[in-house]
Amino acid sequence: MRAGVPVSRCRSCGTGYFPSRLICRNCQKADWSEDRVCEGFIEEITIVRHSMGTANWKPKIIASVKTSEAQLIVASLEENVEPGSTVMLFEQDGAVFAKK
Amino acid sequence: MEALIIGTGEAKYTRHPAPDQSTHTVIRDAVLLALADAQLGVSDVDGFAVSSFSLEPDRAIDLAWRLGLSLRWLMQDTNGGASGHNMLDHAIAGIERKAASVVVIVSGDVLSPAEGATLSANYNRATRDHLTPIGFSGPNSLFAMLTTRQMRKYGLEREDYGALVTSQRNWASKNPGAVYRTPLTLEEYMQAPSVADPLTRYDCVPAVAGATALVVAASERRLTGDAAVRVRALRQSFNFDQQQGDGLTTGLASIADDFWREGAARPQNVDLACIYDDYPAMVFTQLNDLAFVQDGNLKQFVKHRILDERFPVNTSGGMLSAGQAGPAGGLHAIVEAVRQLQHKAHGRQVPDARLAVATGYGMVLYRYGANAAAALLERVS
Repeated sequence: MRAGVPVSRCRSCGTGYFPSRLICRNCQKADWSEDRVCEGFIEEITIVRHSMGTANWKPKIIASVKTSEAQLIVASLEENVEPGSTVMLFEQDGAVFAKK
Repeated sequence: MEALIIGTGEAKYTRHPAPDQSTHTVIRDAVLLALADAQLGVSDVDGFAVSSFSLEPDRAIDLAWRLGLSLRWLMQDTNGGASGHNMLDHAIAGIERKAASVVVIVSGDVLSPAEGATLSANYNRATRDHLTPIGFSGPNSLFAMLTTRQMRKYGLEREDYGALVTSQRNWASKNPGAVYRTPLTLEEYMQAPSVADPLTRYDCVPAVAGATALVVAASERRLTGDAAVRVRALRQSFNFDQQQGDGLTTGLASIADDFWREGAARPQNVDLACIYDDYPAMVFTQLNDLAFVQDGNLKQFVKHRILDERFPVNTSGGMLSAGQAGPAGGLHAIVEAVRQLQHKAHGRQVPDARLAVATGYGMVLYRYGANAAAALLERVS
Protein backbone atom coordinates (compact mmCIF):
# COMPACT_ATOMS: atom_id res chain seq x y z
CA MET A 1 0.00 0.00 0.00
CA ARG A 2 1.46 3.38 -1.03
CA ALA A 3 0.88 6.71 0.63
CA GLY A 4 -1.35 9.09 -1.28
CA VAL A 5 -3.86 8.92 -4.12
CA PRO A 6 -2.49 8.90 -7.67
CA VAL A 7 -3.66 11.96 -9.58
CA SER A 8 -3.07 12.88 -13.19
CA ARG A 9 -1.66 16.38 -13.19
CA CYS A 10 -1.97 18.59 -16.22
CA ARG A 11 1.50 19.83 -17.13
CA SER A 12 -0.03 22.98 -18.61
CA CYS A 13 -2.23 24.31 -15.79
CA GLY A 14 -1.47 22.04 -12.84
CA THR A 15 -5.01 20.74 -12.33
CA GLY A 16 -5.03 17.26 -10.78
CA TYR A 17 -7.67 14.62 -11.55
CA PHE A 18 -8.82 11.38 -9.98
CA PRO A 19 -9.80 9.22 -11.80
CA SER A 20 -7.54 10.25 -14.65
CA ARG A 21 -8.95 12.14 -17.67
CA LEU A 22 -7.88 12.30 -21.30
CA ILE A 23 -8.19 16.06 -21.82
CA CYS A 24 -7.85 18.70 -19.12
CA ARG A 25 -11.25 20.25 -18.49
CA ASN A 26 -9.57 23.45 -17.30
CA CYS A 27 -7.18 24.22 -20.17
CA GLN A 28 -8.08 21.61 -22.85
CA LYS A 29 -4.52 20.29 -23.03
CA ALA A 30 -3.59 16.58 -22.99
CA ASP A 31 -0.12 16.50 -21.46
CA TRP A 32 0.01 14.72 -18.11
CA SER A 33 2.36 13.87 -15.28
CA GLU A 34 1.72 11.54 -12.36
CA ASP A 35 1.48 12.93 -8.85
CA ARG A 36 0.03 11.95 -5.50
CA VAL A 37 -2.26 13.68 -2.99
CA CYS A 38 -1.91 12.45 0.56
CA GLU A 39 -4.46 14.27 2.71
CA GLY A 40 -8.19 14.90 2.72
CA PHE A 41 -11.18 15.29 4.99
CA ILE A 42 -14.26 13.16 5.39
CA GLU A 43 -17.43 14.68 3.95
CA GLU A 44 -19.85 11.79 4.49
CA ILE A 45 -19.66 8.17 5.48
CA THR A 46 -21.95 5.19 5.17
CA ILE A 47 -21.78 1.75 6.69
CA VAL A 48 -22.72 -0.85 4.09
CA ARG A 49 -24.52 -3.49 6.11
CA HIS A 50 -25.94 -5.64 3.34
CA SER A 51 -24.77 -6.59 -0.13
CA MET A 52 -27.18 -8.28 -2.50
CA GLY A 53 -26.23 -11.84 -3.28
CA THR A 54 -23.27 -11.85 -0.88
CA ALA A 55 -23.41 -14.31 2.00
CA ASN A 56 -21.54 -13.58 5.24
CA TRP A 57 -21.09 -9.92 4.31
CA LYS A 58 -19.12 -7.97 6.87
CA PRO A 59 -20.11 -4.31 7.26
CA LYS A 60 -17.80 -1.92 5.42
CA ILE A 61 -17.33 1.79 5.97
CA ILE A 62 -17.26 3.82 2.78
CA ALA A 63 -16.47 7.54 2.79
CA SER A 64 -16.71 10.49 0.47
CA VAL A 65 -13.42 12.33 0.85
CA LYS A 66 -12.45 15.78 -0.36
CA THR A 67 -8.70 15.89 -0.82
CA SER A 68 -6.51 18.82 0.09
CA GLU A 69 -6.67 19.71 -3.63
CA ALA A 70 -10.49 19.34 -3.70
CA GLN A 71 -10.66 16.12 -5.70
CA LEU A 72 -13.76 14.18 -4.62
CA ILE A 73 -12.87 10.58 -3.91
CA VAL A 74 -14.70 7.50 -2.68
CA ALA A 75 -12.55 5.65 -0.16
CA SER A 76 -12.68 2.74 2.23
CA LEU A 77 -12.36 3.71 5.88
CA GLU A 78 -10.55 1.25 8.09
CA GLU A 79 -12.29 2.57 11.20
CA ASN A 80 -15.26 4.80 11.88
CA VAL A 81 -14.14 8.42 11.60
CA GLU A 82 -16.42 11.38 12.14
CA PRO A 83 -17.32 13.48 9.08
CA GLY A 84 -15.16 16.60 9.03
CA SER A 85 -12.10 14.71 10.26
CA THR A 86 -8.80 15.00 8.43
CA VAL A 87 -7.51 11.68 7.09
CA MET A 88 -4.44 10.36 5.36
CA LEU A 89 -4.97 8.65 2.02
CA PHE A 90 -3.42 5.44 0.74
CA GLU A 91 -3.75 3.48 -2.45
CA GLN A 92 -3.28 -0.10 -3.51
CA ASP A 93 -3.96 -1.25 -7.08
CA GLY A 94 -6.38 1.63 -7.66
CA ALA A 95 -8.32 1.19 -4.41
CA VAL A 96 -8.22 4.21 -2.09
CA PHE A 97 -8.12 3.82 1.68
CA ALA A 98 -8.36 6.51 4.33
CA LYS A 99 -7.37 6.55 7.99
CA LYS A 100 -6.67 9.12 10.70
CA MET B 1 -44.74 14.20 -40.57
CA GLU B 2 -45.69 14.02 -36.90
CA ALA B 3 -44.49 11.17 -34.69
CA LEU B 4 -46.88 9.95 -32.00
CA ILE B 5 -46.66 7.30 -29.29
CA ILE B 6 -49.42 4.84 -30.05
CA GLY B 7 -48.74 1.71 -28.02
CA THR B 8 -47.11 0.36 -24.87
CA GLY B 9 -46.26 -3.10 -23.58
CA GLU B 10 -44.53 -4.51 -20.56
CA ALA B 11 -43.42 -8.12 -20.12
CA LYS B 12 -44.46 -8.82 -16.55
CA TYR B 13 -41.81 -7.80 -14.07
CA THR B 14 -40.75 -10.59 -11.71
CA ARG B 15 -38.21 -10.72 -8.90
CA HIS B 16 -37.25 -14.25 -9.86
CA PRO B 17 -37.54 -15.18 -13.55
CA ALA B 18 -38.97 -18.50 -14.67
CA PRO B 19 -36.38 -21.01 -15.95
CA ASP B 20 -37.46 -20.48 -19.56
CA GLN B 21 -37.20 -16.68 -19.38
CA SER B 22 -34.22 -14.87 -20.82
CA THR B 23 -33.44 -11.31 -21.83
CA HIS B 24 -34.41 -12.23 -25.38
CA THR B 25 -37.78 -13.72 -24.43
CA VAL B 26 -38.88 -10.86 -22.17
CA ILE B 27 -37.92 -8.36 -24.86
CA ARG B 28 -39.94 -10.39 -27.39
CA ASP B 29 -42.94 -10.45 -25.05
CA ALA B 30 -42.82 -6.70 -24.45
CA VAL B 31 -42.52 -6.00 -28.19
CA LEU B 32 -45.53 -8.19 -28.99
CA LEU B 33 -47.62 -6.59 -26.24
CA ALA B 34 -46.78 -3.08 -27.44
CA LEU B 35 -47.58 -3.94 -31.05
CA ALA B 36 -50.86 -5.55 -30.03
CA ASP B 37 -51.73 -2.42 -28.05
CA ALA B 38 -51.13 -0.36 -31.21
CA GLN B 39 -53.02 -2.92 -33.33
CA LEU B 40 -49.97 -3.40 -35.50
CA GLY B 41 -48.02 -6.52 -36.47
CA VAL B 42 -44.35 -7.39 -36.67
CA SER B 43 -44.44 -6.82 -40.43
CA ASP B 44 -45.51 -3.19 -39.87
CA VAL B 45 -42.31 -2.37 -37.98
CA ASP B 46 -39.54 -0.68 -39.96
CA GLY B 47 -37.59 0.85 -37.07
CA PHE B 48 -36.22 -0.77 -33.90
CA ALA B 49 -34.29 0.47 -30.87
CA VAL B 50 -33.09 -1.55 -27.90
CA SER B 51 -31.24 -1.04 -24.63
CA SER B 52 -30.18 -3.96 -22.46
CA PHE B 53 -27.20 -4.90 -20.31
CA SER B 54 -27.39 -8.60 -21.17
CA LEU B 55 -27.78 -8.96 -24.92
CA GLU B 56 -24.17 -9.95 -25.51
CA PRO B 57 -22.81 -11.43 -27.63
CA ASP B 58 -25.86 -10.33 -29.61
CA ARG B 59 -26.48 -6.77 -30.67
CA ALA B 60 -29.55 -4.95 -31.93
CA ILE B 61 -29.28 -6.48 -35.40
CA ASP B 62 -29.14 -10.03 -33.99
CA LEU B 63 -32.19 -9.35 -31.87
CA ALA B 64 -34.05 -7.81 -34.80
CA TRP B 65 -33.26 -10.90 -36.89
CA ARG B 66 -34.60 -13.27 -34.24
CA LEU B 67 -37.70 -11.09 -33.90
CA GLY B 68 -38.26 -11.37 -37.64
CA LEU B 69 -37.88 -7.66 -38.25
CA SER B 70 -36.81 -6.21 -41.60
CA LEU B 71 -35.86 -2.63 -40.94
CA ARG B 72 -34.90 0.75 -42.41
CA TRP B 73 -33.87 2.23 -39.06
CA LEU B 74 -32.00 0.60 -36.14
CA MET B 75 -30.25 1.71 -32.98
CA GLN B 76 -28.80 0.28 -29.79
CA ASP B 77 -28.45 2.51 -26.78
CA THR B 78 -26.10 2.22 -23.81
CA ASN B 79 -27.30 5.11 -21.67
CA GLY B 80 -28.79 3.08 -18.83
CA GLY B 81 -31.69 4.73 -17.06
CA ALA B 82 -31.80 7.56 -19.59
CA SER B 83 -31.70 5.24 -22.63
CA GLY B 84 -35.47 5.25 -23.11
CA HIS B 85 -35.50 9.01 -23.61
CA ASN B 86 -32.52 8.91 -25.95
CA MET B 87 -34.13 6.20 -28.09
CA LEU B 88 -37.42 8.09 -28.14
CA ASP B 89 -35.65 11.29 -29.16
CA HIS B 90 -33.91 9.52 -32.06
CA ALA B 91 -37.05 7.63 -33.08
CA ILE B 92 -39.03 10.86 -33.38
CA ALA B 93 -36.28 12.36 -35.53
CA GLY B 94 -36.18 9.24 -37.72
CA ILE B 95 -39.93 9.30 -38.28
CA GLU B 96 -40.06 13.04 -38.91
CA ARG B 97 -37.48 12.76 -41.70
CA LYS B 98 -39.31 9.70 -43.05
CA ALA B 99 -36.49 7.23 -42.41
CA ALA B 100 -39.04 5.00 -40.66
CA SER B 101 -42.77 4.99 -40.01
CA VAL B 102 -43.25 2.52 -37.14
CA VAL B 103 -40.49 2.28 -34.51
CA VAL B 104 -40.56 -0.14 -31.58
CA ILE B 105 -38.42 0.89 -28.61
CA VAL B 106 -37.67 -1.75 -26.02
CA SER B 107 -35.54 -2.08 -22.92
CA GLY B 108 -35.08 -4.85 -20.39
CA ASP B 109 -32.95 -7.53 -18.81
CA VAL B 110 -32.99 -10.90 -17.15
CA LEU B 111 -29.98 -11.10 -14.85
CA SER B 112 -29.30 -13.61 -12.09
CA PRO B 113 -28.07 -12.12 -8.78
CA ALA B 114 -24.54 -13.21 -9.71
CA GLU B 115 -24.81 -11.62 -13.15
CA GLY B 116 -26.22 -8.45 -11.60
CA ALA B 117 -23.31 -8.30 -9.15
CA THR B 118 -20.82 -8.81 -11.98
CA LEU B 119 -22.45 -6.03 -13.99
CA SER B 120 -22.40 -3.70 -11.01
CA ALA B 121 -18.74 -4.45 -10.23
CA ASN B 122 -17.64 -3.84 -13.82
CA TYR B 123 -20.01 -1.04 -14.80
CA ASN B 124 -17.23 1.09 -16.22
CA ARG B 125 -13.48 1.49 -15.79
CA ALA B 126 -13.76 3.89 -12.84
CA THR B 127 -16.03 1.46 -11.00
CA ARG B 128 -13.98 -1.61 -11.83
CA ASP B 129 -10.65 0.02 -10.96
CA HIS B 130 -11.51 2.26 -8.00
CA LEU B 131 -14.85 1.30 -6.41
CA THR B 132 -15.12 -2.47 -6.62
CA PRO B 133 -11.71 -3.00 -4.96
CA ILE B 134 -12.85 -1.11 -1.84
CA GLY B 135 -16.01 -3.21 -1.49
CA PHE B 136 -18.44 -0.39 -2.31
CA SER B 137 -21.15 -2.98 -2.97
CA GLY B 138 -22.82 -1.24 -5.88
CA PRO B 139 -24.46 2.16 -6.01
CA ASN B 140 -26.26 1.81 -2.66
CA SER B 141 -23.24 3.19 -0.80
CA LEU B 142 -22.86 6.14 -3.21
CA PHE B 143 -26.52 7.13 -2.96
CA ALA B 144 -26.49 6.60 0.80
CA MET B 145 -23.89 9.35 1.06
CA LEU B 146 -25.79 11.49 -1.45
CA THR B 147 -28.93 11.07 0.67
CA THR B 148 -27.00 12.18 3.76
CA ARG B 149 -25.93 15.30 1.85
CA GLN B 150 -29.53 15.96 0.82
CA MET B 151 -30.85 15.51 4.37
CA ARG B 152 -28.27 17.99 5.64
CA LYS B 153 -28.81 20.54 2.87
CA TYR B 154 -32.62 20.55 2.91
CA GLY B 155 -33.35 19.59 6.51
CA LEU B 156 -35.04 16.36 5.45
CA GLU B 157 -35.65 13.44 7.78
CA ARG B 158 -36.18 9.78 7.12
CA GLU B 159 -39.92 10.30 7.49
CA ASP B 160 -39.84 12.56 4.41
CA TYR B 161 -38.37 9.80 2.28
CA GLY B 162 -40.84 7.42 3.87
CA ALA B 163 -43.70 9.66 2.75
CA LEU B 164 -42.60 9.26 -0.86
CA VAL B 165 -41.90 5.52 -0.63
CA THR B 166 -45.23 4.72 1.04
CA SER B 167 -47.08 6.95 -1.42
CA GLN B 168 -45.51 5.10 -4.33
CA ARG B 169 -46.38 1.77 -2.74
CA ASN B 170 -49.96 2.97 -2.43
CA TRP B 171 -49.98 3.64 -6.18
CA ALA B 172 -48.36 0.24 -6.78
CA SER B 173 -51.17 -1.48 -4.89
CA LYS B 174 -53.39 -0.47 -7.83
CA ASN B 175 -50.93 -1.64 -10.49
CA PRO B 176 -51.05 -5.39 -11.22
CA GLY B 177 -47.71 -5.04 -13.01
CA ALA B 178 -45.81 -3.96 -9.89
CA VAL B 179 -43.75 -6.59 -8.08
CA TYR B 180 -44.50 -5.11 -4.64
CA ARG B 181 -48.17 -4.24 -4.18
CA THR B 182 -48.85 -4.69 -0.47
CA PRO B 183 -49.39 -1.25 1.08
CA LEU B 184 -46.54 -0.11 3.28
CA THR B 185 -47.00 1.93 6.46
CA LEU B 186 -44.62 4.65 7.56
CA GLU B 187 -43.94 2.60 10.68
CA GLU B 188 -42.90 -0.40 8.56
CA TYR B 189 -40.70 1.87 6.48
CA MET B 190 -39.01 3.32 9.56
CA GLN B 191 -38.36 -0.11 11.05
CA ALA B 192 -36.88 -1.65 7.89
CA PRO B 193 -33.37 -3.07 8.13
CA SER B 194 -30.52 -0.84 7.08
CA VAL B 195 -28.75 -1.53 3.80
CA ALA B 196 -26.29 1.35 3.76
CA ASP B 197 -26.93 4.08 6.34
CA PRO B 198 -29.26 5.99 6.05
CA LEU B 199 -30.82 3.84 3.29
CA THR B 200 -32.99 0.94 4.32
CA ARG B 201 -34.48 -1.89 2.29
CA TYR B 202 -37.36 0.20 0.97
CA ASP B 203 -35.07 2.99 -0.27
CA CYS B 204 -33.16 0.69 -2.61
CA VAL B 205 -34.61 -0.17 -5.98
CA PRO B 206 -35.35 -3.90 -6.43
CA ALA B 207 -33.84 -5.51 -9.51
CA VAL B 208 -36.35 -7.49 -11.56
CA ALA B 209 -36.52 -9.52 -14.74
CA GLY B 210 -38.67 -7.89 -17.38
CA ALA B 211 -38.89 -5.59 -20.35
CA THR B 212 -40.79 -2.48 -21.38
CA ALA B 213 -41.69 -1.38 -24.91
CA LEU B 214 -43.15 1.57 -26.73
CA VAL B 215 -44.47 2.03 -30.27
CA VAL B 216 -43.78 5.37 -31.93
CA ALA B 217 -45.26 5.90 -35.38
CA ALA B 218 -46.05 8.42 -38.03
CA SER B 219 -49.47 9.85 -37.27
CA GLU B 220 -51.13 8.18 -40.28
CA ARG B 221 -50.14 4.74 -38.96
CA ARG B 222 -52.40 5.23 -35.98
CA LEU B 223 -55.16 2.67 -36.43
CA THR B 224 -56.85 2.47 -33.07
CA GLY B 225 -59.44 4.77 -31.61
CA ASP B 226 -57.27 5.14 -28.52
CA ALA B 227 -55.77 8.47 -27.69
CA ALA B 228 -52.19 8.88 -28.84
CA VAL B 229 -49.45 10.80 -27.07
CA ARG B 230 -47.37 13.63 -28.47
CA VAL B 231 -43.91 14.50 -27.20
CA ARG B 232 -44.14 18.25 -26.65
CA ALA B 233 -40.59 18.57 -25.40
CA LEU B 234 -37.67 16.24 -24.79
CA ARG B 235 -34.33 17.43 -23.50
CA GLN B 236 -31.28 15.56 -22.26
CA SER B 237 -28.06 16.32 -20.43
CA PHE B 238 -24.86 14.31 -20.26
CA ASN B 239 -21.98 15.01 -17.86
CA PHE B 240 -23.20 18.48 -17.02
CA ASP B 241 -20.98 18.81 -13.94
CA GLN B 242 -18.20 16.33 -14.74
CA GLN B 243 -18.85 14.48 -11.41
CA GLN B 244 -17.48 17.52 -9.55
CA GLY B 245 -20.67 18.47 -7.70
CA ASP B 246 -22.60 17.04 -4.79
CA GLY B 247 -25.05 15.03 -6.92
CA LEU B 248 -27.97 17.03 -5.51
CA THR B 249 -28.42 18.77 -8.83
CA THR B 250 -28.77 16.76 -12.02
CA GLY B 251 -28.37 17.91 -15.60
CA LEU B 252 -32.12 18.54 -15.61
CA ALA B 253 -31.46 21.85 -13.89
CA SER B 254 -29.37 22.93 -16.87
CA ILE B 255 -32.11 22.13 -19.42
CA ALA B 256 -35.21 23.00 -17.37
CA ASP B 257 -35.83 26.50 -18.77
CA ASP B 258 -35.39 25.30 -22.35
CA PHE B 259 -37.58 22.27 -21.64
CA TRP B 260 -40.53 24.29 -20.34
CA ARG B 261 -40.14 26.90 -23.08
CA GLU B 262 -40.16 24.21 -25.80
CA GLY B 263 -43.18 22.54 -24.22
CA ALA B 264 -45.01 25.86 -23.77
CA ALA B 265 -45.96 24.81 -20.26
CA ARG B 266 -45.05 25.26 -16.63
CA PRO B 267 -44.81 22.69 -13.83
CA GLN B 268 -48.20 23.73 -12.45
CA ASN B 269 -49.82 22.68 -15.76
CA VAL B 270 -48.68 19.06 -15.36
CA ASP B 271 -51.17 16.43 -14.18
CA LEU B 272 -48.65 13.80 -13.09
CA ALA B 273 -44.94 13.10 -13.00
CA CYS B 274 -43.12 9.80 -13.48
CA ILE B 275 -39.67 10.42 -12.06
CA TYR B 276 -36.73 8.03 -12.28
CA ASP B 277 -36.50 6.59 -8.78
CA ASP B 278 -33.49 4.40 -8.22
CA TYR B 279 -33.45 6.05 -4.79
CA PRO B 280 -36.01 8.40 -3.16
CA ALA B 281 -33.42 11.18 -2.94
CA MET B 282 -33.19 11.26 -6.72
CA VAL B 283 -36.95 11.81 -7.06
CA PHE B 284 -36.71 14.90 -4.87
CA THR B 285 -33.61 16.06 -6.75
CA GLN B 286 -35.20 15.79 -10.19
CA LEU B 287 -38.49 17.38 -9.12
CA ASN B 288 -36.48 20.26 -7.69
CA ASP B 289 -34.36 20.56 -10.84
CA LEU B 290 -37.49 20.77 -13.01
CA ALA B 291 -38.95 23.53 -10.79
CA PHE B 292 -41.81 21.49 -9.35
CA VAL B 293 -40.60 22.45 -5.86
CA GLN B 294 -41.42 26.02 -4.91
CA ASP B 295 -38.34 27.93 -3.73
CA GLY B 296 -36.48 24.63 -3.49
CA ASN B 297 -38.23 23.87 -0.21
CA LEU B 298 -38.32 20.08 -0.34
CA LYS B 299 -39.62 19.79 3.21
CA GLN B 300 -42.72 21.79 2.35
CA PHE B 301 -43.08 19.96 -0.97
CA VAL B 302 -43.25 16.63 0.84
CA LYS B 303 -45.74 18.00 3.35
CA HIS B 304 -48.09 19.66 0.91
CA ARG B 305 -47.73 17.67 -2.32
CA ILE B 306 -46.54 14.14 -1.52
CA LEU B 307 -48.07 13.26 1.85
CA ASP B 308 -51.65 13.77 0.72
CA GLU B 309 -50.91 12.68 -2.88
CA ARG B 310 -52.17 16.01 -4.21
CA PHE B 311 -49.54 15.74 -6.91
CA PRO B 312 -49.39 12.23 -8.44
CA VAL B 313 -45.77 11.04 -8.56
CA ASN B 314 -44.80 7.62 -9.93
CA THR B 315 -48.30 6.23 -10.31
CA SER B 316 -47.04 2.81 -11.41
CA GLY B 317 -45.39 2.53 -8.01
CA GLY B 318 -42.19 3.64 -9.68
CA MET B 319 -39.20 1.38 -9.81
CA LEU B 320 -39.09 1.29 -6.01
CA SER B 321 -42.29 -0.78 -6.02
CA ALA B 322 -42.71 -1.92 -9.65
CA GLY B 323 -39.05 -2.95 -10.05
CA GLN B 324 -36.01 -2.06 -12.11
CA ALA B 325 -35.53 -4.16 -15.25
CA GLY B 326 -31.95 -3.26 -16.13
CA PRO B 327 -31.86 0.01 -18.08
CA ALA B 328 -35.66 0.09 -18.54
CA GLY B 329 -36.37 2.60 -15.76
CA GLY B 330 -36.63 5.69 -17.92
CA LEU B 331 -38.73 3.86 -20.49
CA HIS B 332 -40.94 2.50 -17.70
CA ALA B 333 -41.57 6.10 -16.61
CA ILE B 334 -42.52 7.07 -20.16
CA VAL B 335 -44.81 4.04 -20.54
CA GLU B 336 -46.65 4.78 -17.30
CA ALA B 337 -47.10 8.42 -18.33
CA VAL B 338 -48.42 7.32 -21.75
CA ARG B 339 -50.89 4.91 -20.16
CA GLN B 340 -52.15 7.67 -17.88
CA LEU B 341 -52.53 10.05 -20.81
CA GLN B 342 -54.31 7.39 -22.86
CA HIS B 343 -56.60 6.90 -19.83
CA LYS B 344 -55.62 3.24 -19.71
CA ALA B 345 -54.25 3.23 -16.17
CA HIS B 346 -57.42 1.61 -14.84
CA GLY B 347 -57.54 1.51 -11.01
CA ARG B 348 -54.82 4.12 -10.65
CA GLN B 349 -56.01 6.51 -13.36
CA VAL B 350 -55.34 10.18 -12.68
CA PRO B 351 -58.64 11.86 -13.61
CA ASP B 352 -58.59 13.60 -17.00
CA ALA B 353 -54.79 13.42 -17.29
CA ARG B 354 -53.66 15.48 -20.28
CA LEU B 355 -50.06 16.48 -19.60
CA ALA B 356 -47.30 14.46 -17.93
CA VAL B 357 -43.58 14.60 -17.30
CA ALA B 358 -41.39 11.49 -17.45
CA THR B 359 -37.71 11.52 -16.55
CA GLY B 360 -34.72 9.26 -16.95
CA TYR B 361 -31.47 9.31 -15.00
CA GLY B 362 -28.48 7.06 -14.83
CA MET B 363 -24.98 5.99 -15.74
CA VAL B 364 -23.28 6.26 -12.37
CA LEU B 365 -19.77 7.03 -13.57
CA TYR B 366 -18.07 7.35 -10.20
CA ARG B 367 -20.06 9.26 -7.57
CA TYR B 368 -23.57 9.66 -9.06
CA GLY B 369 -25.45 9.56 -12.34
CA ALA B 370 -24.14 11.49 -15.34
CA ASN B 371 -27.19 11.32 -17.62
CA ALA B 372 -30.54 13.00 -17.12
CA ALA B 373 -33.50 13.43 -19.45
CA ALA B 374 -37.05 14.70 -19.35
CA ALA B 375 -40.02 14.35 -21.69
CA LEU B 376 -43.19 16.42 -21.62
CA LEU B 377 -45.99 14.24 -22.94
CA GLU B 378 -49.43 15.37 -24.09
CA ARG B 379 -52.66 13.47 -24.74
CA VAL B 380 -53.85 13.68 -28.34
CA SER B 381 -57.51 12.67 -28.57
